[in-house]
Amino acid sequence: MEVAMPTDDLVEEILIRFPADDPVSLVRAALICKAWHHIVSDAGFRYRTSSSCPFTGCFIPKAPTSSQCRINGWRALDACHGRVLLHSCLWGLMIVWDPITDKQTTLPKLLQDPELYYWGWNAAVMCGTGNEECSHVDCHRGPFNVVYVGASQTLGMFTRVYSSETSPVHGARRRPPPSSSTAA
Amino acid sequence: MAAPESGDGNNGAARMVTLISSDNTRFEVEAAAASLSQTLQLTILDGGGGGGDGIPLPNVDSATLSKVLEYCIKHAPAAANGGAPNATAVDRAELERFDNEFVNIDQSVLYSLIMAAHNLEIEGLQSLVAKKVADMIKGKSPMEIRRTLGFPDPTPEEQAEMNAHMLEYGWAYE
Repeated sequence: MEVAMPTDDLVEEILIRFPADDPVSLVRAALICKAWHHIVSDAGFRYRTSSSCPFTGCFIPKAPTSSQCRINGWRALDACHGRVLLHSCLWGLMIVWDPITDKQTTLPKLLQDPELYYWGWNAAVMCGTGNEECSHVDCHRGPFNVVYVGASQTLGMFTRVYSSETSPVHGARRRPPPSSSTAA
Repeated sequence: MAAPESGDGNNGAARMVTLISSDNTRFEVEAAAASLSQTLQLTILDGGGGGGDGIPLPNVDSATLSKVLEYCIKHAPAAANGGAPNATAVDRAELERFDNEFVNIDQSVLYSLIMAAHNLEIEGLQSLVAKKVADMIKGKSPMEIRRTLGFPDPTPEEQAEMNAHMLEYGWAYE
């Protein structure tokens, strides 16, 4: 059968019309050829389907190959908006890992005083676009904030916020800690 | 330039425009129906397509254009009402029945239609045909989809990639 195939943007129009409750069809369609896989993996397609089919996030062009995140001793503290916040007791480090792009950002060492650990602490990562309208579908490439909450005998309850915008990603590990602001 | 009253000048009759397919067949159709195409709408508003001129459509053959116009003529009254707020349930059901039968056609015609709808920017038609093609490939295996859509058989390299993907997303094939 000699049939002219629809162009990529028409294929997108077709694939976008799969029922939201049928992600399996989308997975199969992604297999048809590289062009279709690219269409389904594209950020624009993810954005268009995000409200109906949050599943499309799995069609990433490249599987994560992070070696650092597979070393023992890393613990996931939080995962939000396409980022994972990992902590290593061994190295006393926190990194923010984007599993889709495999990009890692090492946060500046926050704690110099081991006494801070005694009373417990936790941290969370979140979108840092500052836009309340952000759909969080494709903001994982943008700025982020890490909020650290701890308690100590000398400081009491305290919060620190790391912003990837005010602290450049590269060389962040070498910057004097903490470059973040103190709140509350 | 504005010449909205072009054509035969008879205010009582609907204004007609002429469309010319790639194989030089002329189609005379009401301007309101042709205006479902965003592309044509501008030309028609400018007064084009009337009289003996006609609007050439070098990317659309006569068989496809005939189907496109069948859709436009059927949908023009509803579109003139600004969508469906005034349409009765009967009207809507009738349009739905028409749409269902309309896309019950040969696959090659479907492809020609979706491309024509895209080129002519007829949103409703593009959406209708895209939904039909999506329904056709829904629930099929990748190989079945390839055959349904007339893809050539995969190269060994493509086959290897497909197998690797199947391993990764095995649940999608159960």
